[in-house]
Amino acid sequence: MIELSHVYKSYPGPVHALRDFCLKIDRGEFVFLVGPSGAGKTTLFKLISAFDKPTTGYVKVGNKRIDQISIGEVPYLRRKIGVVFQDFKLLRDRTVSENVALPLQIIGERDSIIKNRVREVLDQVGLKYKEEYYPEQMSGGEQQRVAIARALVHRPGILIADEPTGNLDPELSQEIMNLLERVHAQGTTLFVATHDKGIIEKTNRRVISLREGSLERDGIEFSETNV
Amino acid sequence: MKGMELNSLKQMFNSYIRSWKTNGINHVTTLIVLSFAFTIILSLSTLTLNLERILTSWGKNTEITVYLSDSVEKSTISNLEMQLNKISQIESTKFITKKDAHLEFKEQMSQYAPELMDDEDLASALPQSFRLNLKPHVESNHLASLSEKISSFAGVDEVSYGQQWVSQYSAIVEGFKKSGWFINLTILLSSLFIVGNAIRMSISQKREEIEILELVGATNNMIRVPFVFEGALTGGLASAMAITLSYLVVVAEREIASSIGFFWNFSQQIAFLDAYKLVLFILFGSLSGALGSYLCVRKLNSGWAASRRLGGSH
Ligand SMILES: Nc1ncnc2c1ncn2[C@@H]1O[C@H](COP(=O)(O)OP(=O)(O)OP(=O)(O)O)[C@@H](O)[C@H]1O
Ligand SMILES: [Mg+2]
Repeated sequence: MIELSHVYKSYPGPVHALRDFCLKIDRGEFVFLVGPSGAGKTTLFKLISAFDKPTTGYVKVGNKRIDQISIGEVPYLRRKIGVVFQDFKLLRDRTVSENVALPLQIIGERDSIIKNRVREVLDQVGLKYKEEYYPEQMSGGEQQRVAIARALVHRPGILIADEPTGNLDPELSQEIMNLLERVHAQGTTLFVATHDKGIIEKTNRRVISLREGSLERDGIEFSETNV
Repeated sequence: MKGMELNSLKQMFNSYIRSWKTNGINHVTTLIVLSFAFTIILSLSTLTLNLERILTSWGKNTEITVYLSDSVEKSTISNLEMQLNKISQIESTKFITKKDAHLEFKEQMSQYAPELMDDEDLASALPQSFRLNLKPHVESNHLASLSEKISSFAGVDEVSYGQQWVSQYSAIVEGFKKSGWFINLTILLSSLFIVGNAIRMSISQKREEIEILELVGATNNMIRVPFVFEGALTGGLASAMAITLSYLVVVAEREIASSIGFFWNFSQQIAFLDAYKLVLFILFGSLSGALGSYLCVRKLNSGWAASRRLGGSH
């Protein structure tokens, strides 16, 4: 489902954000990504979600190499992936429900269907009564949940979440994790970056740990030092 | 069409309104500048139209007089009459004998030069002629070529239609039309630039929105079309404002013309473009707005705009 092969990603400057990084994630897996700040987690997600291209090496999503698809195909690839961005990326001049509706509008879904589905997802993230709010009227944690709702609304095959519980209290974090579990149970492949040791310990899933752009560990067992 | 919902008219209209809310000053400035530019185009067209109308109305009143040579034969005269009647622009012909000419001359001149009245030499000196009335649709600027044609007929000595006046005036109108085209073209190009500039500002204001749309899977057209729509709307609005402005100009001109009042029908001659042309003008405004904005957004979204911008910083 997701494959990276000898990926290097460098930005202007001396450091490589990713160095010779290889990874395979199968369809239907639920994988955590950990690593200290600056390790390259967001960079990795950007490559997988066709936000950016690797400097060398390749990234495959589905069966397609992202660097080889045509510009016209890029939007269609992105529609198959739901992304919770670390900085949310909400449209400031649109309401919560307009923000969440966006992926459905883009695929040309009917208004009535959009309306129901947006309600449903907002309910799942606990924002049922804030449909008409604008992002700036909401707390960081609320905005984060809007971002999660938008990433889920079109039922993507792959969900990538960059610290989706970073701004939430333990109780809400647990609720969001439960939601992600349900989404996973419906067949979605999940790749979730987190600093939350509690969550990882509890779920007992595959954990990939990054350090300075390189793969440090990949396995089920969780070790304190990786977070 | 699937995937076009984002660009439904309602959505694009909403987005236009949002853009007014966040960037009203930009919109107002653009609208004012653009509608002044369009007003110039419209006023020039109206002016040309009115000059032409005056020319045409002169054409209606113009008579052509065809003076015959002295020694002309009867058969030549009837031949000539047949030839003249075949010319499609001519409504009627009237033959004026030497005697008719003399009588008419007497009538017109009796007040000014009574001593000439009984001069028999003069009577025989006036040539016989055909007097031609033109059909209403014949424009004055065709008079020259028509008279040239008639001059070449057998038995014709001279053709007269008040050449100088009309040909000078129609030369002025022609010049006006030509320079009008040039001015209009210049203004049109600057309008494209004005709209393009406004759209460029809108784009930089919506940079974040464009990137987000791109990241959640919007296609190129989904991102571009609303800007083209915005350009078309701006152009359409500006041309509607220009129509209002130049109509006021025409009303003022009429006021002035009737207060001067030296031609009894002068103020009636000042017309505004008809409804059909006005609709065309609004269409033209919208189209040039859309074009100006299209030229701007053509290369807007490469599919990787977000990554390109973030390439250097985060
Ligand atoms: N656009 C950019 N331009 C230059 N350097 C960048 C850019 N984005 C990331 N980097 C660098 O790449 C490295 C990895 O950054 P990245 O954002 O992937 O870290 P991260 O693991 O997501 O950290 P955090 O946990 O703080 O979110 C960092 O050293 C960062 O400075
Ligand atoms: Mg990050």
